[in-house]
Amino acid sequence: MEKEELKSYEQRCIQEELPFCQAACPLKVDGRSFCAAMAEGRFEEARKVLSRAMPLPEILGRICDHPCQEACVMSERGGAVALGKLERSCLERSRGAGTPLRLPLTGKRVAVFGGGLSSLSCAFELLKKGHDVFLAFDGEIPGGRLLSIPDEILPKEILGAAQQTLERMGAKRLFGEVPEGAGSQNWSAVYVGVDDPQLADHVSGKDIDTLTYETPSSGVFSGGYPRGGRASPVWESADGKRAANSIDRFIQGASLTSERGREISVETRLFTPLEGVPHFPPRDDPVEEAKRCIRCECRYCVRECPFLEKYKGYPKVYAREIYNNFSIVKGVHQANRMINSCALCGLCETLCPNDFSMADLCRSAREEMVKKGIMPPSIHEFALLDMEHANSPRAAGSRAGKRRTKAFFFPGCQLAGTMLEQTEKLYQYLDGVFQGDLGIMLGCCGAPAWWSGRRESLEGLIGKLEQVLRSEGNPPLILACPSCNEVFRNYLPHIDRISVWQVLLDKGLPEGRPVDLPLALHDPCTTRREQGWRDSVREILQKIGQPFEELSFGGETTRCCGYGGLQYMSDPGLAVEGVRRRLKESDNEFLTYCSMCRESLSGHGKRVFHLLDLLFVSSPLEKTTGFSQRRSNRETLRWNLLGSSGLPPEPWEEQRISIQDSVRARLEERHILESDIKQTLWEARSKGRFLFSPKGTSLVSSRIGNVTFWVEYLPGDGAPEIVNAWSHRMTLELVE
Amino acid sequence: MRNRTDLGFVDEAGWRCGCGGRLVSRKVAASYLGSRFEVELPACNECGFILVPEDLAMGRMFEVEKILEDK
Repeated sequence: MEKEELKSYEQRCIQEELPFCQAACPLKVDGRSFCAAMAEGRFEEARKVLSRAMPLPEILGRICDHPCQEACVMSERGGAVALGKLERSCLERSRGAGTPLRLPLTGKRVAVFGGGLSSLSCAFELLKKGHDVFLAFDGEIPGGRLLSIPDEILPKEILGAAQQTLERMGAKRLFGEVPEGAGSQNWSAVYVGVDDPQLADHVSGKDIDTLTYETPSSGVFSGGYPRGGRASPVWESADGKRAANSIDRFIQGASLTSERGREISVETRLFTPLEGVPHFPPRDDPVEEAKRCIRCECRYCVRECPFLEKYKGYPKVYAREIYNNFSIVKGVHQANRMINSCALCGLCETLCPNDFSMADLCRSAREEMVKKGIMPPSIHEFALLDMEHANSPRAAGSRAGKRRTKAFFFPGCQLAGTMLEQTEKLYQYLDGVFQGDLGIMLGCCGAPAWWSGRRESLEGLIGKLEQVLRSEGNPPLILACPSCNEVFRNYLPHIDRISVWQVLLDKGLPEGRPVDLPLALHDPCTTRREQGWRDSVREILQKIGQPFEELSFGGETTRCCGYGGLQYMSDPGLAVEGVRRRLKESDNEFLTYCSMCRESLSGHGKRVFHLLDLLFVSSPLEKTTGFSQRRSNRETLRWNLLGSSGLPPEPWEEQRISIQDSVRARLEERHILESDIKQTLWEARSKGRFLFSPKGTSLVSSRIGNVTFWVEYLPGDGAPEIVNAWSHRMTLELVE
Repeated sequence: MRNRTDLGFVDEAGWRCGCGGRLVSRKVAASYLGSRFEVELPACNECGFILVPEDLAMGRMFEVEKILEDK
């Protein structure tokens, strides 16, 4: 991954953008943290949050004109959080941390003219930065315009106390007129606060640079001018603070303009989903009112995805972690599991206001890992071997139509594997309506190669499909599996694709066998961008009279079943968690139109129908078909539709074994196939090596590919009963 | 790379070898992805057949394989 690519990903994720209140505040007060502290009654903590951004909060906090409130999203849920009132109650309930610390003294002298809030704020900030400040104002205490505010709102002693704070920090009183330029009286810089009525006409607002607060005379800065024709306390304070920043830069000879975007901007790209946020009218009690703040953040994608939630961050963080993962030369690649656990389902991209796609990020990371030789070999191997089987002559093949090939039916290897009978019936039905002019292609589309980052293997496979299609004049593909459709949309864009559902609508539906109960309709994640598929399915359901329920996360915001992206290989627990959550979204039993969704959602206490179950043979899944049975079904389908592969049977195929269901489930979980068991028994017999235990079982092992299998069985007169099996990838040899 | 690890394992199941030998603890080299470790594992004192018990294969050995894959 290149740095530029990382930046472009990072830039899309807006989780770290400022909340609306903070962006709208000229001082960038962190309203979110402030409310969090107030909501817990931690007033001193809340005051610290104010002090971090606000110079002299004891003044401004009492009179702030709170532009933050106008930006608050809670205005759509009963009313903006009353941040202005909360600031005031915070100051009334807290004491503050005393005189702030100063940076090492610089010996630079700055004259600050005016007693208004902008001048006091400017003086305060300059003192913190270590400069010598000389404050010039008329009267006993400073305040300028603030002196006319009634005591109930801003007591005079607050202004007196502010003056004492500045003096404790080292400010000195200055008597005199505003000089022409900074240099004339050996000032390093001069500030003129026009919010002091005495100085109101001294500098015209239009002569002040709105970014740097410079005036036409060199070294003289000015702020505190009215906004929109009115005096604004928060802007007066911000003017003083920002001008102090400019003065500090001016004294150091640094640029007055660079890197000030975040200080100045009032823009934020944050998006806060308000779905599920209740209407909640304002409260009088400050703690209760602070609780109304929903701590604006995006995390829209994280909230809806168990994978994004699991790794405790958000896409911007993940992009950085993936980038760093490629920089590791020696050490553990911590992000491997994360990269390989994304279901590549695309929900995050649909929800994100900036289309951040974890699928694109993780898929390209996987491809890069494969290219660099750092992809952990065990994660995808089983799925890739399964793909190899689906494309082997025993399970794959094709036949053109009798006279010509108007279309090729490509059922997909998982449909063939999990729904043998329905697939066969569907083919016969289609073959009938096409009157023999339908070709058939059995095999895998290459989705596992695509999902696991094996681009070369995918392209090789697509190349072979292209050859078959070309030999028949590139007829359209009729697809029953939405995953195949997604692969071909990307890799066979020149071939027309039609969903089998559309074909059935066009050519005439079979009678259908609806069930009485309404079924929750689970759209496969690979139909997220295929409205045609989704619409056809709904039309069929209406036509056959099957009642169904739309899930709130359906259609283009549907969820993955955990099969996508081979998530169930890299993190089976996560895949199951996703399934459990999905099934809880409805009390009804489920209906889908992807065989792997049907397979993944099954076995968790609910019946899951495939649309073909309602059209041809009604056998909804209650438990999963399993890897071994899927292989055997594919071979049977190939035999039934295309005849023998011509290959001799494997020598161990004749080996008979018996396995109890509980053992079979364990083997499935451990990705040990019946063919692995048979091959191990057969090889062990030819080698004559075995162990035996006092309880009468025998134990044999063999190395098949990259895996060593161990099979424990009870020998007997009939088929050996398999009692256990396990495997490992390490190889072992005696040292002595 | 040559290391010693704690992959060693004592078999409790009482396995005996089909060749008539006994399983004894023997020094074994375990290799994966270019890494090699010496461990003690039960192996036949006659024919040298090495046993990898289930708990070891599914437990510590699996963990070490994962660690090596992420290196």
